[in-house]
Amino acid sequence: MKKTILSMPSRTNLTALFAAFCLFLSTMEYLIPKPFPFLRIGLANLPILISLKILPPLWFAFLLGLKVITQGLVHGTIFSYVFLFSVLSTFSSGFVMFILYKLYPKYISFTGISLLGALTSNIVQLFAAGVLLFGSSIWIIAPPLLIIGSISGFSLGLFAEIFSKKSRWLKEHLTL
Amino acid sequence: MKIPVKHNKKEKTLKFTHSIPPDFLFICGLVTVPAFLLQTVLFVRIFQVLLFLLLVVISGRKVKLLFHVMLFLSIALMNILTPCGEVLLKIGPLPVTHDALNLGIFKATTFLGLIYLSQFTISTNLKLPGVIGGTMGKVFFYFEKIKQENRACTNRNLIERIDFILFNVLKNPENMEIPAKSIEKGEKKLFGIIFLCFFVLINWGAFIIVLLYGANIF
Repeated sequence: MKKTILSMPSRTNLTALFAAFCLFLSTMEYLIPKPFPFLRIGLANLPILISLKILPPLWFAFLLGLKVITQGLVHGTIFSYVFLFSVLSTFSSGFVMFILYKLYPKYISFTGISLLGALTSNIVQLFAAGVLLFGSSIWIIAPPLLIIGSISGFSLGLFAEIFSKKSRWLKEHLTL
Repeated sequence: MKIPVKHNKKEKTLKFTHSIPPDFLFICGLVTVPAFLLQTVLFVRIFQVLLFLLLVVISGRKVKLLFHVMLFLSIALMNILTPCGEVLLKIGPLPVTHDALNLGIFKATTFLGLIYLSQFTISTNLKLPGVIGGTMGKVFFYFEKIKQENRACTNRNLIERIDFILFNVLKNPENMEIPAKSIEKGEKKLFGIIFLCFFVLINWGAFIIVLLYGANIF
């Protein structure tokens, strides 16, 4: 597999492209009404998963930041708890996914990485929502939310795995 | 003969927001957040939330009112499940207590108020400084391109569709012109700026009055 080292402008363009793709997918997801603000399907995590193969660590972190800021700007939620939940869940799950991908690349696939990332995201959001909004009663609704999050995380990871094997675009852009 | 032009309601609302510079709007929002969060009187907080909601509606932004009502009720209900204080009424086996209800409503209004404040004061025209601002310009450019390519693509295979979009969006990246978002700078009306200053003063004024004279004044 041909690998190329990306120049700075190319890294900037790729990072911006992934962030735009996250924004596009989150906009699609935002249109779906949810009973709780932190209940996310996680479509916007697909570019995050794919970027694990391409972007170096700092650019990956930059991508996470761009994702939350642009979503906050577009949806107009920067001063709200929704933005705070987004920051906490994105960075916690991003951190977990990154560590898993770097430490255990041979033992865990995108499916597992996405599943664990989704669980991390949901647990962090449940905790934050419990502290700020719902109180200790949040744990009553935790099981169904975690189940839904696990299913969506698993499905997204499975799709990312298939995409990483079949995508011509990804094969051309893999880098050190 | 000059033909009078009738402005429709949407045009009027957009004109109102375009007269206010986005960075000034952002700063006013940022300054108002502490005044809102530190407000301890529920009655005043509800007034602030309604004010923010009114401003969001005037600015022309969409409000998912039914969804927000559901959110309000769910937050209040979840807090009622942890009883605290004097029992007001009983719904079956569930006692609805004064302190739990008060806390639930307080948290719900905080949540909604911050959303409305954000929606009124955050504009996509907001330019952030430095590398972040520059990269965000690219993000929004690519976002528009992705939407265009998605509409143009007729391939139903999801992976091939994503490939198509990614290939086309990144074509000739060095020659790309990132079009600047047009901001109607022409009418930097003093009215908009004065209005925002008044808006900030109302919120901080309410906080200071409660601080000096106590909650009983309301």
